[in-house]
Amino acid sequence: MVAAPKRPLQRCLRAAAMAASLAALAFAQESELYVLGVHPHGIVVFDGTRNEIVTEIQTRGRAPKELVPSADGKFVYVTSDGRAKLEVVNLETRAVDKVLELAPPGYRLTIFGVVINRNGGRLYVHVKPVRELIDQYVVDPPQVWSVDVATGKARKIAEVPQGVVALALTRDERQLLAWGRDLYYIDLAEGRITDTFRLMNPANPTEGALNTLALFVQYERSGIFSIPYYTKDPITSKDLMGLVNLDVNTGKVDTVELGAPIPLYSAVVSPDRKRAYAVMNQLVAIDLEHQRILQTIDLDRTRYVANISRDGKRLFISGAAPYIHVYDTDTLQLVKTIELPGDPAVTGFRALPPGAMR
Amino acid sequence: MKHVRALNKKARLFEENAEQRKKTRDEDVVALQAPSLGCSLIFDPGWETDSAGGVTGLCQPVEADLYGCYDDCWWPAQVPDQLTNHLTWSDSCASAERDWRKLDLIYPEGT
Amino acid sequence: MSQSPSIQSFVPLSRLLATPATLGEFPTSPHTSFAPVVFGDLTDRPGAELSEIRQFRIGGKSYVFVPAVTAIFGLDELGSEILELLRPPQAQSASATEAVQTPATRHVPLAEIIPALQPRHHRSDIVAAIKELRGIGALRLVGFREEGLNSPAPQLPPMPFPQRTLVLNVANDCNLGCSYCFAAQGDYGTPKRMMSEETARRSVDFLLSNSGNHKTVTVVFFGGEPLMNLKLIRGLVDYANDAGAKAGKEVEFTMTTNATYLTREVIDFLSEKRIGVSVSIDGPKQYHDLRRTYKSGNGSYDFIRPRVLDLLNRHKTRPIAARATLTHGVTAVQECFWHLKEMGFHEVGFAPVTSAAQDEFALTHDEMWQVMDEFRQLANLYVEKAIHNQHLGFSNVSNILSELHAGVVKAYPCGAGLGLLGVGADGDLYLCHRFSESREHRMGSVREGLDEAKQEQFLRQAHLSRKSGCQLCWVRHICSGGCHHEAYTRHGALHTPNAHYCEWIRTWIDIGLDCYARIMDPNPFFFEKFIDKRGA
Repeated sequence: MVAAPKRPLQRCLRAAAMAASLAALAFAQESELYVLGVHPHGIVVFDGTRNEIVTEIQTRGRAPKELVPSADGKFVYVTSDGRAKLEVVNLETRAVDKVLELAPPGYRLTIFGVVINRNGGRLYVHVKPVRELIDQYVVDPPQVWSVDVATGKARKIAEVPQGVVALALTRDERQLLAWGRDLYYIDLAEGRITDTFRLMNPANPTEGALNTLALFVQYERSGIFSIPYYTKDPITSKDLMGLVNLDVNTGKVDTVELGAPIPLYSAVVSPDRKRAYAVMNQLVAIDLEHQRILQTIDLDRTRYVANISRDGKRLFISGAAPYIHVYDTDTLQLVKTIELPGDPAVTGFRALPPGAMR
Repeated sequence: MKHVRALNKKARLFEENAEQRKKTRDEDVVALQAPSLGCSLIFDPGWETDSAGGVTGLCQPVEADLYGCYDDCWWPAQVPDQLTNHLTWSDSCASAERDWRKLDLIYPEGT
Repeated sequence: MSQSPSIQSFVPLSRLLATPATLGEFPTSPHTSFAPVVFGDLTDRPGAELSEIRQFRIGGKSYVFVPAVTAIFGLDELGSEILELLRPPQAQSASATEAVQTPATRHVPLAEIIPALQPRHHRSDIVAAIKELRGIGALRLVGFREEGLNSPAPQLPPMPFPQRTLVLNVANDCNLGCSYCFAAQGDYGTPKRMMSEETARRSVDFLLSNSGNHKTVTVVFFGGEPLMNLKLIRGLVDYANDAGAKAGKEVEFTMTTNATYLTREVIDFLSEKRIGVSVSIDGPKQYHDLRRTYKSGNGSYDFIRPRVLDLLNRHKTRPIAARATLTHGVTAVQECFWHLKEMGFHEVGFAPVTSAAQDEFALTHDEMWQVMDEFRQLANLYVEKAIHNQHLGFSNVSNILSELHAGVVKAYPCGAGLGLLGVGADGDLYLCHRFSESREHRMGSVREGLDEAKQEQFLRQAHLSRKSGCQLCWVRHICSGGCHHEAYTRHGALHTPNAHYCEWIRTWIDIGLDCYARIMDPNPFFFEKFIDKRGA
């Protein structure tokens, strides 16, 4: 069911007024900017207000994957080259400042999960180290490191179980949240996992294992890191899906059961936290308050990620093929298609903080 | 191993390997309870259809998923090894759907 | 309309592996698939076949050697019977000298294997044994998509490859004129000269700065006769120790000498500075003086004997080895061995002379096999002593045991051009000391650095995978085609395998395998005590 559309005349007037104000304030009003990675080695900065590409910045490594903007909007940290390199992209100069080579000699690292603290001086990364000996590989346990951005020096904080793909920092920056098969809460002062929210390993045999893949990070607008989950109810044997919503600020987790499964990669929550939009081969609008699916539309192709405008009215959908599609969140109508220079692959689509690239 | 005993160091590596594989296999058996919905956290190797037995639930079109999938080793089949030997295989092809003609071909040396 | 695809070469320089070794270890590709051990029942799989293995029995015990990975396993009766079942009835166990060990195999359906063994063994044991044999690559199951132990893709070692050893030609001259000398009696056919101190220092600097993560490096004093330039050696040892300390590395020294310059003073110097010594001595006087003569033709034995005894008496800080060369007429290995042991050498090693077939001193075919016989007898004695935790000191056996113990899979026969380089008197770098002063094999200099393009070219061409004659041979990963210099001298080509001694080498390595099993089963501690300590 779709929310009743606003009356056409009102919408027109509103739109006209908005356009006028936009035109008038074109230089004063800040554009909403987003950043995503494209194949083979580029970062695209996208203006979500004007719906156009601002610039493409070349990365040093290939296939940029994770993107983490700094809170002041000056830098984006990007993993590339098979998630082995961590590059520091300067948004003001539109070039890569430096590459943080975190791998110790004799090691190959794969970085799955990057997050930066608010003052921009410290990065936390989840790494999967492999020691490459002359006739064998020795896999070290996956671990979380703290990296000093200025010096590039890394320090191990804790080992984590296999399967972590994303990290988040709570608002008080006391806890690092590592999302893998389960959600691990790492106390940074103590340097260990102090709590676990069970997903794949339920404590209770009457609960199904919640299968999630938190590879797509889009929580800037709402503070809710939302990922679809898939499970089988052990009692009824029914396949089910839902959303796991992690409030990144507080660390609280909520699950929202939605019913029969639709394959979906990722979800984004609206700024007012009332709605969520999830994508893969369909675009699904979800009412979080009433915990149900509002509308499902077929997409013409697979998409990986969605992010949402500051006012919650527009959805930006990307991933897989080289386009950004802009959708109206009320009607789920396609508003515009912007072509990208390359496939966005599995990268985030992250909102840049206000003040970026002014 | 009961019937074969390792003598030299290389042989002992096999023994350790066998032990390791046994251990990880025991762990993995637990994980296969969840339904296989491609690209969930738990790998379900060999799935070529969605859970309904068709292909509509997979990434569409398949080219669109090439970089997303093979580059992180989610989908290692039928593409050149991009982890070790052929890192730049797809660098001329910015969009798999659009520029597939620019994908490099790899031949064994001497052919 | 369609663009022509760009073609990439299949063998890129892999920057995979970082931990170095001196010998060219054959890097195991991550794509080598070890046959996975299978769940559940095997009776639904069609059948089993032998993979490439060498089986042998010692006393009542059964063993298997897996050439693809140089792994040695002991088998129980059941394991051994299973492998026997897979051998074609008319084929005997291949002799060691055969290159191909499993030319034929029977394909036996599993439905037959189990009943054939069932009266004597439990079904579950049979299934378990088949799984284990498959897991080690001794047999493969056929009938569904299955790979045995694949040969790794040809890959160059990681570059830049760290240097471990430099052999310095400190004296391009010699006071002797041994007839078989590969250095043309000391000067490699070039003007006689000494290495300068400056060149020697640059060499040490080169070694230290190119040694990667190696904690220890080795400087070998060679020549001609290195002790003709004692002054340089004295200065260099101190310089190298200092430079090494600054670089956080330890420098080890060894020297090969004809022993004519071993005065008491020199001996004390060698001992004080912990320089390992290898004395070139061929045995008792009647053998030694046949070839190791002054340029006048007079033998050197009488002169060096008291000096060697003095050395063995006074130099206690490093082991002293005797290096005897076997030549036409000098094949009484045991006689020479005991003579040298009685003199007091800790270790004695024998090398058949490197020669062109028509050289006067070249060993004949029959002589090579006489030598093998003697080697075998000494090896048996080695084993007896080893079981009682004693070391006979016959280097040839220790060397092969060391390689078998480690399970080496070599892409190159040695470290030449890789972790070991020779330095000529003027500071030029060569593949190894035997190629000193040979322009064709020059690889840069200690001043300009290593010529990486030449090195890469050499490593590509010398790779085991290029030696087509070697590909099916069961000792390929240990022999790897044999010494480059030997091939060059005998066949005129650097990269040809040493076909003239293939059967000999296979026989010798087989003896090594035999010794290995005979020592390992009763006394595995022997390896820990005597073999593991040997450097690469």
